[in-house]
Amino acid sequence: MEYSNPEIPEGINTSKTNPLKELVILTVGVIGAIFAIVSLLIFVVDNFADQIPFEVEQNLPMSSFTEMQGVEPLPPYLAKISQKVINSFNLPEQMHITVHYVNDDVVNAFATLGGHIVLYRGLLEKLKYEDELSMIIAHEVSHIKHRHPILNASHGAVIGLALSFLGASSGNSVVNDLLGTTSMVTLMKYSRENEHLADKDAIDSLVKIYGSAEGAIGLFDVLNSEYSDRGEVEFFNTHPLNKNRTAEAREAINHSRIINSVVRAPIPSEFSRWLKANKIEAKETKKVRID
Amino acid sequence: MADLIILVTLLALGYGFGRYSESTHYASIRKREKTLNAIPAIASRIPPQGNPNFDSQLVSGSVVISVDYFKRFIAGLRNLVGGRMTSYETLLDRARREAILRMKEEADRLGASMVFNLKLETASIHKGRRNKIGSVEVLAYGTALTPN
Amino acid sequence: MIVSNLEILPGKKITKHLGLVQGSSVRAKHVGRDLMAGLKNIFGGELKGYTELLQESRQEAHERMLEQAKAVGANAVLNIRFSTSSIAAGAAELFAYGTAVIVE
Repeated sequence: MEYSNPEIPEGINTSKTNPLKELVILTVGVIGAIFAIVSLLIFVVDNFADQIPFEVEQNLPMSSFTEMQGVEPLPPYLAKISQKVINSFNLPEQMHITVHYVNDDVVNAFATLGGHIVLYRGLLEKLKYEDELSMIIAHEVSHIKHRHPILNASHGAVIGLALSFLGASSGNSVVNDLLGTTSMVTLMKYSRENEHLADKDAIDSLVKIYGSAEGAIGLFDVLNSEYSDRGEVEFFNTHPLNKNRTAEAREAINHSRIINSVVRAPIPSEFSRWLKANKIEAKETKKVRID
Repeated sequence: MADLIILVTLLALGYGFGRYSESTHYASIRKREKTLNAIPAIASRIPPQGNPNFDSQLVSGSVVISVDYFKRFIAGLRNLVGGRMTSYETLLDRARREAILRMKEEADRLGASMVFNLKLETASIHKGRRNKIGSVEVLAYGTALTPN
Repeated sequence: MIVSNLEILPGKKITKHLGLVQGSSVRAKHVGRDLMAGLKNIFGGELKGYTELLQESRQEAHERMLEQAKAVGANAVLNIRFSTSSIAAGAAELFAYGTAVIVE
């Protein structure tokens, strides 16, 4: 009997594929698929979450605001303007909106589950005119009117679940990061569309109340001085860039041929003084807490 | 944005170094396979009968090799889509051939003329929960027959 | 090509041993299958997707082994063994190896 070890040709147990080509195909394919899946989930969830009655949303445990830090009773001026803005929307009867004031330096305002709108002192301080304040409130009311808070919460839950399934299958943390980023960018695109919608509604409301949409441009200027567009890419943002929002507001104004020569009511000095006193008060309580 | 740059850099590094180390490894495997061809490794359990008589001794060789960042990334994507995982094919091919070579080298030191009843064991080594994929260990063992 | 896990073929004489031939294949199933298998794991029962995955892989490993045997000029592969290892979650490697021989 003879024993020998002949040479076996290469390449039987390995595939001859170009790794770079495979990388491109897989990456493009997976990103495209995730984009499609997330868009589809958003679409499906939107149709379901829309059916959730507003009362149910209001009774959700996370819709309670009494425990949030710094929530203070709404000053009469804010209550008055809020009412004015809310009245300009034709909200369904059961949709009840509650505006809150928070004594904090954050330059922000947001709408959340249960019809709550939160205004921070930091943002209010920067305003000069009443219509700018109305613009903020109107923007947030529009979010609630279109049920954006509940829709966003539902998207987060459903897409998070889907991603965790996919993540378990890939078993690679880098690939999971890629999946997360792709779905985030898709959600951001959706979020920017919502912001456009809210801006549009808010401008309509301003026109209804003041006969002018100057407040929108004023507000975007304020935001721009606080959060500059410089170095920002709209693709990676939940909100459209300020310059685009301003441009859109300008276009809306031109389109509806509004006369801009309306006299704008400034924020009452009494209210500004009250905000200032609040700021000092907040500083002092902070100091006490640190001591 | 910074994440993307880091990812691309790591992929490029993985691709470059991975390819380089793979081709040098293959070159070395081919070279040593040629020189060790004189010692056949046979997967049969029955040793040759009759003359000459043989001394027998267990010989083994093992190796742990890992896949590079680039291939691991491709494998992660492939795991979502399904299909042939090309990333791991060369990894396993290299590991097996290397393990057999190391076993033969040991047999060569003993002056053996062949290795019988060759067996191969493969184990995947998991490194933590988040980075499950990575390296394989291959163990090759058999009985070296030395004519006396 | 004779393929067997016997070491000696009854009634046939091995004239030449040509050493080890091997075939391997690593494959994965798409996420949908992984998902179904995950669910099946809760209720028990056959994981059809994975049975299929392993069968396909084993088939390919087998074919690759035969290709190597053909390349070295063998007409039989004896004493073949299969081994399975999980390389990554959801991916499996199937490995087949045996001795390539020439029989009369």
